[in-house]
Amino acid sequence: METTTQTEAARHDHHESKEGHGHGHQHFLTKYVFSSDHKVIGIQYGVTSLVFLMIGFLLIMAMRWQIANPGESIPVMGAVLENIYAHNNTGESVFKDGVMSADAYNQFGAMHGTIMVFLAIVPLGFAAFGNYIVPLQIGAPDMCFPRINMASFWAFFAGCTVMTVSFFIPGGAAQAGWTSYSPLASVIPTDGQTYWLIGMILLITSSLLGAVNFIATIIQLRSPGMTWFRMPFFVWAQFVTAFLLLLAFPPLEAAGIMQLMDRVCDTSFFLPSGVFDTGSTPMAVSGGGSPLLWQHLFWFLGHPEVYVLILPAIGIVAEILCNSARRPLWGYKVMVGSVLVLGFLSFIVWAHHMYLTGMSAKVATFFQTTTMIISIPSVILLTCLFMTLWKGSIRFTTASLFALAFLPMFGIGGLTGLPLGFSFTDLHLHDSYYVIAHFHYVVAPGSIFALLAGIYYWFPKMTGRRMNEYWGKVHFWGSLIFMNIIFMPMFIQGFAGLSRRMSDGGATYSLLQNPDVTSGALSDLIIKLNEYITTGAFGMFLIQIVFVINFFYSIRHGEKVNGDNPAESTTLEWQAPTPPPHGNFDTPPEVHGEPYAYSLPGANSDFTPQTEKNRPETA
Amino acid sequence: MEIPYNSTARPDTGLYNGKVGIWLFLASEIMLFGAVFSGYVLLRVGADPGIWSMGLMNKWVGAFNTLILIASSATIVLAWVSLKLKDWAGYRKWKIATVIFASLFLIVKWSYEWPAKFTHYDITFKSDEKAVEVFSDPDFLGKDYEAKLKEVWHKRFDRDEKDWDKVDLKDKPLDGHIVGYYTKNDDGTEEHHPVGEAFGLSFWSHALAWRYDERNEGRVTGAKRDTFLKRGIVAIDFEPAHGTWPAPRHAHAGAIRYAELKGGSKHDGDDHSAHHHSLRIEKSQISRLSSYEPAHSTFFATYYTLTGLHALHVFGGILVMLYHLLPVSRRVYEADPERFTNRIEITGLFWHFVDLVWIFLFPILYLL
Repeated sequence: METTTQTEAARHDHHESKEGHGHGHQHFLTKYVFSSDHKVIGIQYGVTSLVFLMIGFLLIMAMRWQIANPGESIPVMGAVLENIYAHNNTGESVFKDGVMSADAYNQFGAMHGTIMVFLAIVPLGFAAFGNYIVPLQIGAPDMCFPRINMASFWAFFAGCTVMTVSFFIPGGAAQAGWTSYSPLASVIPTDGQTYWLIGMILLITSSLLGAVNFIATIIQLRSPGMTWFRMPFFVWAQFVTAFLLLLAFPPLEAAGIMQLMDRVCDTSFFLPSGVFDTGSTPMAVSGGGSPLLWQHLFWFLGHPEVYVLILPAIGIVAEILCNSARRPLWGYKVMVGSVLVLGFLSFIVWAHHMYLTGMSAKVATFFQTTTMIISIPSVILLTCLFMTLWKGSIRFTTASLFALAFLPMFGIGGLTGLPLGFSFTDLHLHDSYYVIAHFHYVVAPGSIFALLAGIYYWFPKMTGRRMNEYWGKVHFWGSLIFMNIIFMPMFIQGFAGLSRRMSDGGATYSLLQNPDVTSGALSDLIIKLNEYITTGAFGMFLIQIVFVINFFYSIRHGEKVNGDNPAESTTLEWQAPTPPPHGNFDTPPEVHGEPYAYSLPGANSDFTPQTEKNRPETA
Repeated sequence: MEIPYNSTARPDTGLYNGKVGIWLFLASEIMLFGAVFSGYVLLRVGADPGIWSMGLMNKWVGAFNTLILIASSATIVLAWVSLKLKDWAGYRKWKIATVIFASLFLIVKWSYEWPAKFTHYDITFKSDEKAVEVFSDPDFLGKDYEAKLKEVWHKRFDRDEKDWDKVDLKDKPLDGHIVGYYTKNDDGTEEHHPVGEAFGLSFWSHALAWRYDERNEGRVTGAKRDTFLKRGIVAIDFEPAHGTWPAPRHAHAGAIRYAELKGGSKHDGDDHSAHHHSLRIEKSQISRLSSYEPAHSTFFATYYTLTGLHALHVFGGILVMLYHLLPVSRRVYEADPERFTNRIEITGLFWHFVDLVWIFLFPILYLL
């Protein structure tokens, strides 16, 4: 017994001397799979969500093919899908002869939205970057509740599994759109929607556990000297995001439980009296429910969710822009105030998604007003980020290029949202491709560019190696060009009245010659644009291959970085060892100053880390 | 690696980690229950007359459950206080008391309240004429059926009777228990089949098998159960809920046979005070028959969702409290008494929240 202890102690010492930190041997499973280390969990979240980002993108590629070439067999994948994909309730493939049927289109559309929002961008921006970076930036040894953190990831993983499995059950995945409006979602006879609801309940449980953990960590585990206004802006962004997840997600969980009751126990929460399904007699349900109730509960989450998608992205961009412009964040306190106001206001704008439900003019006025007010803090954030660049000597790394591109792209997304915030213009644009273009500008070249910037920026901290800059820039310019080829024409299509839910890209609708409505519903040009967009999407796919190869190659073979702070950054995560060990810092770091002390007059270098004791006097 | 402030408070916030965590969690829980409560308000405000069955609940049972839950809130505080005073035996005693109260709550809910509803049906009729046929049966309510009907209606749906005229006679439900059903043989003769009693072993199959909606007849949609079609039912043997309706004076053949099945004598049927007096209700008279299951109405849908969600919280609480009584918890206590006491405090905060939810549920579901 004694010998064993001695051997263990010796091994422990050896381990310590080799890696320079105190942590015993761990089994592979507890170290990399069932780990409670926030960095491992962050990477688990990151890898899972990147995989789902790819799956979500592949779904839309198949849909884009169908939109550009309605009724034509999908090359290569068509045959595969016909054989592996779920059959409908009558036992027929929804990809007969490799052609995407309307059923399959609906399933892919619903799951593209669900996967991109709940399985890709939120877990990547909030859970992955948040988990990895936040404890490091505030100088904490780990998250407040490490085991709850692990539970959060595994609940997320279970949710992902249920969502993925739903593609392969008889009848296929959910097909009522990512918003799952009832009564449609309640009465669809296939089981996909039930799986969707169970998956969502698991995902919401995961985000609840994560949100509690983030807030508690930021409140409780800031290292000595890390006061609230010394926290990097990224931490503030994550703090507000966590509150949004904590308070906005539960109503969707409640709505999900009610819809599950509707589907499984035949209740009528969302089914009005006298509702019909496919038959000619009213459905034999009690009725008395309210479809509007679903919409309210859904969008009560849905709108804060928009800020869950964008706030971590803005936080990442703020970190990178300061670092690459070598300038302090312009208006740090104003930005913090804005992000708090933004968080609060995001709870009282939700019904601007519902102008078409016939709400009264008074209610619409309220939501139009709050919607316009919420654009003020958003503009303040963007302006501060632009102003940060003023007089900077910018280092054009791949990370900073992505972060810089975020600004105009998010700007386009934001400004095109204004017409949707007014009910009189929204009545025309609602459910058209204009809406698609608007919110994709916010989340695709917006959030995703910021997340890619974050990957390029923090990759050296996570692995000790850099990603290849040349191929990184190829990835950036390709992505920027193709993004705009994809989404810019959609504004034009939307103005022309192309509806977002047509499984043939409006081809049939364009043939309508109804003189009472319009002569020729859609012009040939509008339909032709579908092909350009689809070409852009395939280009986008090819350019992402560059990123994937660069990513995996650089993990093992990338250029090694010198020292722990290759980015020459001021914030705490760069003062930790590379990659940071379990427990992060050798001693709890002491913080002596503001987070963005770049180019301080009188300083030895153009950056003064937060841990630096001898700080030049600031004017 | 040790996470700081697990058992001691952080000086500038004055809180230990778990307390911050539980308050955040409870904030989230408020939003969860708040959403279902707001669903309750919206559905109730929008409900048609005669749908919101506010007078159906047994409020004394609800009051009993409220009391034991409040008692459990007191005992869990005493358990925490005992730990603060370093009195493990006292802690154990009060914690066990809490678990017993909590279990009692669930036993009442899951073995009495819910099952009783699953075996309690109501019937609405195809037309006003058919409804009059049943209600004015001289063996049942007789000629002045309207007075009795009004009294029941007043108690159950409509305290100020403002909606009495808005609801057709056919939509004023008759509630009670199914004691049997009749099928027709090929030769035209009828056969009577008794069904299991409310608390018999056949409870679940009984509860989930019965549902009739004339709109649904002849087609099978998903999980909808058309028992009548599958079994070829022509009429049911229905015993109006006693305490609400006067017992029908005449017992049908089926009901007598049911009484025999239960071991009683054939002559029970002639005894006016016996419980087995039933009505024969033809399928052609019924518009809808449903037990008080979730699908019955938006009221019951809300009732089961809210009480079910709450009961799951109670159940989770019981599991955590049992864990805190295991030897492994004793060891945690001995290693770090402060930390374990904090855990009990957090459990107590959660438990108070669960009680508080019930304090809201009881009036809105049983009294209002």
